[in-house]
Order: sequence, then C-alpha cells, then structure tokens
Amino acid sequence: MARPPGTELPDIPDLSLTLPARAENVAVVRHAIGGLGEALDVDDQTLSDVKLAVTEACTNTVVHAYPEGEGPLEVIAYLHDARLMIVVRDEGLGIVPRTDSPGLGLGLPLIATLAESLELGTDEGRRTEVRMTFRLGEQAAA
Amino acid sequence: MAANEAKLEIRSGPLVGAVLSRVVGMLAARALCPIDRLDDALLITDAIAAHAPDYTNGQVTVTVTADDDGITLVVSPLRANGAKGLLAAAELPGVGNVLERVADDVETGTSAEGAEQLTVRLAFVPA
Repeated sequence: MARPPGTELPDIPDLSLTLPARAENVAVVRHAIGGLGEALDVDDQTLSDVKLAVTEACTNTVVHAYPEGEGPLEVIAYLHDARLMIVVRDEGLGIVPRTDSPGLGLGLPLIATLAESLELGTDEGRRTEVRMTFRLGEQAAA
Repeated sequence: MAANEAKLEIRSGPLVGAVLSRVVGMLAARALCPIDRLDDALLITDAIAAHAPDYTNGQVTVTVTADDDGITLVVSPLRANGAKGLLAAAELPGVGNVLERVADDVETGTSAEGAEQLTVRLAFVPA
C-alpha cells in the first residue's frame, strides 16, 4: 500500500533515529522524543501523548516485525505547520493479523486516540510505516 | 547494526544537543558506564553538538556505539576539512581541547563512503 497522493513527507526530516528493534531500545526512543519535545517547548500533556503513542508503535515493531530475528527500527520526526509528524518504520512482516499475538491489540487504537491522525502503510522501499501526526500548541509552533 | 548502536540524523539547531545527549546518556548508562565517565561522555556530546552544525550541510549525523569497555561517537559526513575544523573548535582558552583532554582516542579520517569523519572514543576506565 503506497503512500496516498498529497501525504508525501518532506525530503529532510528534523530527526531520524535508527536502532536495532530490541525491547531496551524503546526506552532510548522515548528518551529521545523527550529531548525533542523539550527543545521544541512542547507542552507536558502533548509530549506525554506523543511519547506514549511512539512507545506503542515501537513496541509493536519489537514484538511483531521480526519473528525470525532482528532488524532495524527507525523513528523519524518532521516539524511542519504547527504539527509534529512521527513515522515509525521497520523492514519486517508488515501489519498483518496474528491469531497468536501476545498483546491485547490495544496499541493501534490507543495511538489513534492520542494522535490527531494515524496512517498505516509502506514507503517506496516497501518498509512498514506507522505515521502519526500531533498538533502542537502555539508555544511550540512559534 | 550492533546491538548497542544508534544512528542519529538531526537537522542543525536546538534539537542536536537535546536529542544527542539523551541518546548518548541512555546507551552509556545501559553499558554500565561509571558516573564520572558518564559526565565526561556528556561533555564530549555537548562539544560535538555545539560545533558540528558549523561543519555539516544542515544536518548532523552521529553514530553512537556503546560496548562493555566504552562508547564511540562517529560524526560523519562532514564538509571538506570539517573533521579537523570540528576538532579545533573544541579548543577552550585556558583549558585546551575538550575532546582531546577528555576522550581516550580522537581520530580524523574518511568513512567507507568517502566522507570526512571525526571519531571520538571514551573508555569507561581511563587508560
């Protein structure tokens, strides 16, 4: 499923962080997002929502993307037009139903609740993407 | 990609220091870096974050690798003569060069892709 027309991402992100998709690295991503929020002066509630949503998306990658081994987890952030778009990308199986899933299946609905918008898809290289957009307050957008 | 490795690409500006210091701090702490050397690692990180934007083309790329013995930061790609420029920029009056004084190994060189790079290695137990 390619990215729909009109939803193309800017060429150069504000932040890109690539790590092995391991459970302990979810905390590294969360911490990095905390630094991003502090530098952008994002209000506490919004930053809390962003961190929780990104944590859920990264956890999905760690749990589901690479059942046979390990691969990369990439988190990319774009600041544009008073909005923060965060893409969590992997090179794994894709988002498919799992009857043997160890989770409760609440991750994506939770992200959808926290974010202004949520898109699931693949990029040009057929890598799996979870794209979340958060509206920032006027303070952060300035 | 090594188990305890992270590659960061950050647009030049206030995000560089804020994000890089957190990632370095997390990876170093997870590798059981002693607290005094964690402080040194963050000093190195601050020096790189402060000056690297002057030697890149709008985006700072740093690969951070932590192992049992230390942590390594590779800043690449840099502009022509950027590695030596970045190293020289860490000179502080009356103190000397922060990177050379604090780190155990500092190297300027060329990456496998042919780009200039600065490699800074901090051992958890000083040599």
